[in-house]
Amino acid sequence: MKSKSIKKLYTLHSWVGVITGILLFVIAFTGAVSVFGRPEIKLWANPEIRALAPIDTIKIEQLIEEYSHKVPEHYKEEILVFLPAVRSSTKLFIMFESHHGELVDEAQVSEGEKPKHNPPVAAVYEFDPVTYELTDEKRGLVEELFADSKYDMSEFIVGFHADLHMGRPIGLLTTGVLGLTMMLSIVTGIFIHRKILAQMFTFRPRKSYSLMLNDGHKAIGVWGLLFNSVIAFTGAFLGLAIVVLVPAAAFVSFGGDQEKLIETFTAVPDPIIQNVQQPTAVAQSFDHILTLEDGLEVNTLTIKGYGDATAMMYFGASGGKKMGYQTIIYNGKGEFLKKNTTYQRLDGYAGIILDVMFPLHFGNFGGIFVKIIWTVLGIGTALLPLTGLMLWLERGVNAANPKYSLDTYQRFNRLIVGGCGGIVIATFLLFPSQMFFKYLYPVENIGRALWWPFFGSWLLVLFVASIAPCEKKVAKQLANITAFILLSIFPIDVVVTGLNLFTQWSHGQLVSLGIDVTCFTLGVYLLTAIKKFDGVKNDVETHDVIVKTAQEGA
Amino acid sequence: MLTFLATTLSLIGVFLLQDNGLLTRHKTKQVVASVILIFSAILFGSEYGVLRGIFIFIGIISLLGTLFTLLRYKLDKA
Repeated sequence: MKSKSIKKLYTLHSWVGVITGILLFVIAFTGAVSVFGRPEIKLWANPEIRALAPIDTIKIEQLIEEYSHKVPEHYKEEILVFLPAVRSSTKLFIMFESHHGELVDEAQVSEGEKPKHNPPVAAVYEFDPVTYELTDEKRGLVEELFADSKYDMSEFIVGFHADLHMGRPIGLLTTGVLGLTMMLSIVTGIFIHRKILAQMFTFRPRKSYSLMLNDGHKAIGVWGLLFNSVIAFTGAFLGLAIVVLVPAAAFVSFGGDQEKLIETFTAVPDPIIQNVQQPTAVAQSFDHILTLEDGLEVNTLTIKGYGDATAMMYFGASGGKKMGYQTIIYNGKGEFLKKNTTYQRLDGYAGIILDVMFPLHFGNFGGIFVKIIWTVLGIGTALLPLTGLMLWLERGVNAANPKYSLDTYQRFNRLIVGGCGGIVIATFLLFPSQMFFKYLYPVENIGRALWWPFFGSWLLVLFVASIAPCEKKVAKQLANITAFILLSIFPIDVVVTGLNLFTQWSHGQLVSLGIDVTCFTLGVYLLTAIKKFDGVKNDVETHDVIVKTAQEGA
Repeated sequence: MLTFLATTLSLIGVFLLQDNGLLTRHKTKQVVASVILIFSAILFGSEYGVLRGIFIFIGIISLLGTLFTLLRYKLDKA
């Protein structure tokens, strides 16, 4: 490629990075943490579900039967069961839903006033995951029942990563477009890095600060090339699918009816009710699933035509040998019929690609092993724009004829320190905040309350970084604060739950123990790294002064 | 066990590809490293299935390659 074209690509690479770099760091860093959002952080955030006994399938069958008599007949059109501690539920939920809403007395409604659709209604029963006692019940329109659902730090961080809590469509559009700009940065990066293969092992941290940034940026970029491409593509797809791709596909093939499009590919068919009574063998099917594949975990159960001879059960499961989510289908007698993935109905490779999008992005397709790899690489993805931005600043400030004033570079540096350092602190502050709002200052909806410490701390850091005289000192202090927050997570957990390292181990709370120990270790490592970095920087600065003096002398 | 073996092979493969901070030009080392990495990919595939195995292999190579490159100077110093 001609050097003129490479120069143009370099300019494009730089400007895309400068414009989107901070936001990309924010998305990538929260994404790395979100990998463990469900169920690991969920379990840590809710100590009462950390060590649940295996689900009592007979009890679930009994509860469905018992409560099916407490709802009107048409509510049994579909029964949904959400299991605790698997994905986002902390409790066991059983929901009886009528897709066609409340029954309308035809005699009392004149022809012209008949509504086209009655809005779906449901009755939701919430049970304690340990005692299986009823803790709450709600009845009403489905959209109202889920309008103000309670959430905690795990949904908070995953939701922030998905749409920056800006909602649809703006939030999803923003993250989707960022995925596209990341792909653009990757492609331009490949072309401008001419010795991409030859220098893939090159890292010279002791020669100069600039060279350390340059080599680090290239090493993380080259080795993480395939991973970052996968993350950028799946991220762009997940962000844009709902707000752009689905409406566009619906417009082309379904006259703009998005619900119909989604139903065509994902909905489960309604059975033709024969009105022949037959108990639905829920427990038997549940138990059979566990024998199908190793590692298969049931998340949800949908029952159609409950209590009828034509009843069907659809178990939503993850894990096992397939990458995507699976639907395992049983008839009412508890006989296994088949299992398929969500988009298996689509012809060709389209179904496979759609099925792997979500697991590939979040790394939940191979247990903790893959999640650890995805998290560490996700941190690498976050470091890529950060090192790029620092490199841009370094080159700009040290250029013979800087393009912008030193003040401009300094203001931008402060924005980087505040924006990136702030999100790291805000993210780790969610851990103590979760426990604070759960035990010390109980609130109805912890997720909503978490907005204050999260965005408050982030804004505070941005403000301090913007007025502090030396941004390097601020960066160092931010690293220290992050280390102390990380170190505090374990003791806070011990204080609020009363369980120490050994009791957590003996109670089988390995996930929360893992989070506690990891955070503590990271805190110790960060403190050590700050000390070492100070030493290295002093060495490099001394080396630079010696070289400069020698050159001047010559 | 297979996962551990495949990860170790990946690390050996990455290690063999490096010569003084550059990609090795030694043909034999290149061939041996490639064979080891392919074998590692096959092991991941047999443990997790082809599709999952490929992506886990990509992840592990990215991770080991990055860490090895960034921490290699410490080995040199030692």
